[in-house]
Amino acid sequence: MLAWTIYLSFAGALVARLCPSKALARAVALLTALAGLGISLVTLRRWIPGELVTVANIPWIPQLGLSFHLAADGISLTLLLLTGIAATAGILFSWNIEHRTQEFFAFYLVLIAGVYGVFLSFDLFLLFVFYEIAIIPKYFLIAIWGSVGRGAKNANPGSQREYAAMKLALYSFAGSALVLAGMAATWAASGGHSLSFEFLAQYPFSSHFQFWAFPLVFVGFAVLAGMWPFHTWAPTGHAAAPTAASMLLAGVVMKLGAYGCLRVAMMLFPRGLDPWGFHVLGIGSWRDVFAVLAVIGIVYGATVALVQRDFKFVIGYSSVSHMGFVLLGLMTLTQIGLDGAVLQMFSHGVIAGLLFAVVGRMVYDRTHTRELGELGPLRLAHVIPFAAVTFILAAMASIGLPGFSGFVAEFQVLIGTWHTFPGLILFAGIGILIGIAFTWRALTKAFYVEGPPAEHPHPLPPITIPEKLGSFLLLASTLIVGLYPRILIDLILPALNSPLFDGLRKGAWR
Amino acid sequence: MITSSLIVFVGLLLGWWFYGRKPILRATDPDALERLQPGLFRALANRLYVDEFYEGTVIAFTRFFAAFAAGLDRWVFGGAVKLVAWIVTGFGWLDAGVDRFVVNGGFDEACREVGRGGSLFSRFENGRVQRYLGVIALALVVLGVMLLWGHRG
Amino acid sequence: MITLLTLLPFVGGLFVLLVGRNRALARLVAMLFGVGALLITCFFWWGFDPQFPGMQYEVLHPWVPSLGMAYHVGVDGLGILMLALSALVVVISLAASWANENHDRLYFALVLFLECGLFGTFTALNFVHWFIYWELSLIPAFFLVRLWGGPNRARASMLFFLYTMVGSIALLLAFLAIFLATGQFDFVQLAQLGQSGQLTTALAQNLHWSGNPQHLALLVFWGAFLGFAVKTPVVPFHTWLPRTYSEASSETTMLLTGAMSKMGVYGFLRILLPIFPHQMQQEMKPLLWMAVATIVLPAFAAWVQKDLKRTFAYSSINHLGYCVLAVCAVASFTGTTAEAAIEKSAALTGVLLQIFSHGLTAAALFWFIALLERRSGGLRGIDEFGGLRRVMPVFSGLMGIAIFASLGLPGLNGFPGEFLIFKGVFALAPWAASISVLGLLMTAVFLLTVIQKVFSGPVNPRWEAMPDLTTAERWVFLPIIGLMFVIGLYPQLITGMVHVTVAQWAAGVRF
Repeated sequence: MLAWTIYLSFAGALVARLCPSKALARAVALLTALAGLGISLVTLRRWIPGELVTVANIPWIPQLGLSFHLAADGISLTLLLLTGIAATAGILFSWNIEHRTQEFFAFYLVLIAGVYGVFLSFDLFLLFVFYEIAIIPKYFLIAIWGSVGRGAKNANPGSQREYAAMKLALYSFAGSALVLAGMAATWAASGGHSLSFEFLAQYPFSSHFQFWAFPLVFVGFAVLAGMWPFHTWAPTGHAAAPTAASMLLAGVVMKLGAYGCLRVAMMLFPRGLDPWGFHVLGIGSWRDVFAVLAVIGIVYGATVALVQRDFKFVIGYSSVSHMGFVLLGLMTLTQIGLDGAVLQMFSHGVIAGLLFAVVGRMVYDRTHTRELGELGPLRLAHVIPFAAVTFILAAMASIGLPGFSGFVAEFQVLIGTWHTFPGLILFAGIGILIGIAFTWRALTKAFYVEGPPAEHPHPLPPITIPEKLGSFLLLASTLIVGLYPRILIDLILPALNSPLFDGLRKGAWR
Repeated sequence: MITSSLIVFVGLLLGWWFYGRKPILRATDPDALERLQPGLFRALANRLYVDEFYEGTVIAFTRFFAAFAAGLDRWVFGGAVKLVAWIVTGFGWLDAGVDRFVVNGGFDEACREVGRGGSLFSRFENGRVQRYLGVIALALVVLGVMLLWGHRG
Repeated sequence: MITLLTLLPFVGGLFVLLVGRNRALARLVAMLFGVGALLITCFFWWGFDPQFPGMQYEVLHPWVPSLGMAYHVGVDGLGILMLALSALVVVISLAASWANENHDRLYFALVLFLECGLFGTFTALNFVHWFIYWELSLIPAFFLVRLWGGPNRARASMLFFLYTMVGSIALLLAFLAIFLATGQFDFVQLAQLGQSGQLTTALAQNLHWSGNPQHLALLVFWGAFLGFAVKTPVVPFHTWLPRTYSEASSETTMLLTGAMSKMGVYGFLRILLPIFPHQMQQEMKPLLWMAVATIVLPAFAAWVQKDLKRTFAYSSINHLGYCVLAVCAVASFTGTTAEAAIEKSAALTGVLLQIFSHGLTAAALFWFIALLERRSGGLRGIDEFGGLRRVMPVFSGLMGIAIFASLGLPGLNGFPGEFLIFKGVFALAPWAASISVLGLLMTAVFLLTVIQKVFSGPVNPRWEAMPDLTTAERWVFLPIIGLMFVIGLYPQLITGMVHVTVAQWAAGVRF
């Protein structure tokens, strides 16, 4: 049944494109997204912890050993839920798009279909196909419907959008090129029988092979996950994208990268994480390398966000910082750290969605400015209090306040870090603190500046019902997981203990 | 008993000696002790300068220490906090610069280089036969050099 | 039951937000909820068994067992005292805001949300559960300072928020290390581990620490210490306080000083002392020096302040410094002979009395300042007034009583706490106590200076027509001043409730 998330999304894209009216297109898109979410929720209800549900396994190109193999375990389901929530919220927040509406929703649904496909694929080639499918709509969404900031006043908005879109696309393709290379090598090294995960996870690749295949594939996916220093596409891209696209990009697409890191690089090539036997500046394995890069990302993303003048860039850099936690959690190679990493994927997806929704849809679409200096005098806390309160709650979630999902995720990652990289814990803590600083700075500068109010040419339209519904959906998700994290932890932990992760377990956690 | 009586007697005697022999008629007249021992009288009149001593030592110290404590609070402890804030913000600017010019700029520059490389290579293919013949000739020369070199070594 | 008490103000806050564009209705609803919470706390007080040596009204529900998170609440002597104090201070603060036109329904709602956070912090017995309330109570406090403060409130509120967060994150990291080592977040269990010394070994083992295990335990201790040192505050982590207290509206400052500042000392008593007694013993010298600095330096600094609110802000730091001194002094003699038990009990009882009485007195003092501000059109400089005793005799009299209570005059509520603290600390750490007497002295000096400059002397012609306390205000202050006398003359009211808890702490055996 889970495969219907993919099929319905493609179908919905087609139908939406062919809709004669914009309202109909919106309705179709919303129904499709809700259907996807509904399917995931139903699956959640029926889930037995630790199971691996094979959804489809049809031989595709038998001569090359490729099959159309879709399956889901607890980790996949968590991310499917995230996709459903983010997609639905994104559509609700795009209700006001008037320019080429049908095409917008068509591209959007194709992107979602690709994402669902990646999370459900259990064949490496199939995963790659869906991964690439997801890149194309991103370009168009940003290039046609994107927004621009104050940055380059000289260039026209169109070329600026294209720049951001092209950058994002190029980085994504560069990453997937690395993955392609790794995939081809894997296929060759395993005899060309199959690229199914179940097969590859058991296959005894030589240590030497894994030693270079792992970083190749990991970096390939990590580019999309926003690992430093391959992260600059993220702030530019997210800031330029239209709200729904930003929500999906920061919320879900970055998780594609992290998911790939876990599912492909770490699950299939666990020996690549072993110590090299020698140390360079205290770094003795790929694990150390990526952990350090992750922590750099956390602190760097936070410090850069601290000095941004453009509201959307603040959120964009905060995404880089938060994804650093995901990567750090993955590198701890402890059960609790990995659990935290996957939970952070979910949590950040929802929270980033919420932040971009407020900044993009509620604020920018009304005020047409993203500059913090200009937003302050508009006294937004009085004019659109719903946006202010939603942003406060989103900010609280973003800084990792307990009660919201981010806290449970981050604290698990931190425990894992204490276990494996105690030397890095201080930097992670500093990263959190700077995160609090920049979030609060943005909050106060945008909403709570006192002083003489500026004149706005026309009164700001009130917050619409779809926006409120979208906000409630996202807030409820983060609060529910924050207050009752078992709902997801009971999915993730048993999945981490499945036979697929045997190789990782043997070399790693106790 | 005798000592105390003696002291009383001496006191009475002193009192009579100072004040009984020549009674002071008006309050404004100088006191007997003042006439005889002006220094001692002044000291006693000024309460043995205890208040001034107190003012000069304890009070002065308290004032100093209070100002010191307030200053410590403002400049040292408060200053430390401000310093931390400056350092962090400074890091922010540094990292933003690195991001914009080094990392981002680096990527953009690399892309431009690829573009330039592309335009460079496209010079080999301008559609004219003469160019292609020239390239083939060049390639043959290079091949020949490589073969001869390899043969030698 | 405790859950009910904690949720009541939260529900009340939501109610206030829904109910009133009308300010009068909002404040009425808020006051009803505040008084309701106070009544429930009194009910707890009467139902509390002073002889029972454990947690009462205890509730334990597993939450996320794999992460050690559990919903665990309970009160002992300390808890019940803090609940009572919080409820009381909130009601007093709401009463003070009654007449302040600037405080609208959002203000009242935020105060109630803050109360919920306070109740939660003082009853939680599992770290994660406790941390939720600890962090979340910062949010209403931030907005209370930010939205209704003075001209520099933006800076003050941000400094307050970020500085406290630094401490909180250090505390969080420390406890995460502890969880990794022991698998426990429960305060009661951790106290047993800490006192038996197993905590140190567990930390060293599970964190692959190659160096001296003592050092790791100390590192973790300092992290946790930082969290509470910023909140209490302890010099040198105190610079956020004078600015925040003076920029916030006086009614907000009442809450901050009366209830929120006690969260820090609560942390010392509930978390640091039971879980890290050996570390505190090892680090006795720096701890005692910091405590002495917290007592002496702010007392001196208070004397030169021109702003009355800053004066009393520094006074707050000084008063809580006595509590820190007592806790640190007690720690230096953990688990030794029975003789020290008497001194330790004295010191700890003093701490509890001081917490309660300072909360009450400071709240009252800032209320007086609020009234003074309102009557003078916003002025609160120490030199702005003069001779008010003749213009407003009742006001001066009552504020005078509050000032003398703050000074520690016998017969009023400040005395028993300070006396017991010094009685205990003189025996446990004589040099620290001796230097701290300077703090007592200086407190008297600056408080009397306040009286001299504001109430005595020639009447400032500007304020000749200043109205005295209205009848309503007099009636409201009566119970507060009365309570000051009652506690001052009959401290058994409090000590009776807490003596079993204190005995346990002094014995250093159980939690």
